[in-house]
Amino acid sequence: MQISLKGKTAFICGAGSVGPGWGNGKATAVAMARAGANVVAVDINMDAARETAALIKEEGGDCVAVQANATSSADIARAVQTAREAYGRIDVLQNVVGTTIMGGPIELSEEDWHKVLDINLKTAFLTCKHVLPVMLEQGSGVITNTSSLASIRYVGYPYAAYYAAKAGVNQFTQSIALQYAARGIRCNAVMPGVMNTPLIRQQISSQYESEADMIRARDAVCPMGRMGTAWDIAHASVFLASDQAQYITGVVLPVDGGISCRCM
Amino acid sequence: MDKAGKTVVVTGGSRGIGAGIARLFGARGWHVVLTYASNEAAAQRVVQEISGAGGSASAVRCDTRSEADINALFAALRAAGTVPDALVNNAGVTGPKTRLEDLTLDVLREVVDVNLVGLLLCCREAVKSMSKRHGGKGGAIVNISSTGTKLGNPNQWVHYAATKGAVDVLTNGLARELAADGIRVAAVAPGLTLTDPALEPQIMARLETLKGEIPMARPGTVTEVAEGVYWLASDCASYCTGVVLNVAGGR
Repeated sequence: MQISLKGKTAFICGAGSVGPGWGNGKATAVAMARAGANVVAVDINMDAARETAALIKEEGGDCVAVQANATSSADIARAVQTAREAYGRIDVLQNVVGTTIMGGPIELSEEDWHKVLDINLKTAFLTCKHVLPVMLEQGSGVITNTSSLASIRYVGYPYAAYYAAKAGVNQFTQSIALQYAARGIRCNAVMPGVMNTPLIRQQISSQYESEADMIRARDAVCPMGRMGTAWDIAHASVFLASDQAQYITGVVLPVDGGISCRCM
Repeated sequence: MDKAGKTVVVTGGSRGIGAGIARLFGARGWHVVLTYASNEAAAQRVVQEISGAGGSASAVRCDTRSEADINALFAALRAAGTVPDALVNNAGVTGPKTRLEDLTLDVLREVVDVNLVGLLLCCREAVKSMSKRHGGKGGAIVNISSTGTKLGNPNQWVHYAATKGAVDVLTNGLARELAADGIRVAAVAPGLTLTDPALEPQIMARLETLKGEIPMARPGTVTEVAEGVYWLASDCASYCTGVVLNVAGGR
């Protein structure tokens, strides 16, 4: 059965990929378009947003690309305005923007601490700030944030700010879910585990001898013997955004091949 | 995403949430084997609803308190050459509402036997067919848990909540044990659910007493729970295992 998002507009913040291949935002944007949604592909990198939009249009879908720095309230306000002008509504807000910077408190600069908190957590705050009024006006909407296994587990990398930011995403998600549950707005998070996306080649490979070593080690640590892909996250996000999930709110859904069940 | 020709076994499929799960899988082209403990007429009605809508289903009597019944259910499937693609462990009982002081051994035994022992035995027999370790093609097991695992259901069903807590733990453990065998294991935790139209007055009365505890301020429907089960059993959730998905309106 194909889940349908027909007639819905999905605002994907972080819809571009940071490198060749499929990142969570790009795959989610394409998957939502395949399910029938109109997509607003928002990214700090306009070329990346345009690439996602082009993929969607090639398949016959409808998408507008918007450049915005998601840590800027003015940029997000403008992107929301563009979405409303294009499609008249926002039914789905998908927050995908995130980053990691390696380092514990000793190594990490104060500037980098703020940067990680801003990019992972403040972005969700700002998109909610500007999209929630639209959803309240409609009397409906679904927000899905991107959490991480790092929100609930130490995963072996020394990135203290990322752990803190993603834990914040979980509780922010639940606070939005509960504040707006009776007003037709749902809010959940997807929780990726150990992922195989373009981001890890940029931001995680420094922790290994080589990229091949990284892939081997990260596959081996997963109970299913493979890392998660952007499509795993995209499929879960489509489900959470759909009417099939209309009684599901306030959940942080692991899409992690079982790795969060593990303690050793 | 799912190819037709898949088979799901739904225990306790004659009424309530189980019947809703059976109907949804049936409507999406799966062959449904639903079990019932005693109410054959109700089970046959669900089978007829599914076939009337163009689907395929059969009902098998199986009292999940009985190892012999469970063994016979899966042996019959094997004999017919049917390998389940999914098992939905829905059969469950609460027993009467009671505080601890008045809990009888008989009630406690029945709740543990159905909700925990029978469920694990169903997993055991299904895995013997489904596991790639035993020549099967893999698949998914979805257990029905409860928000009671977090709330504990004091003054009513602590014994029931305890067995559902066990379901969460075995979901976690089996997910890890069976990941390499191609079997995903997950659970859905319904909250207050409109299980039966006939029970609507009681359920809405209970909603009144729970005012403020359910953020969406309404009970869930059988279909909403079934959609969660269906998604977890489908290929769309192919990287989800060990997950307990609350379908509880934020509760």
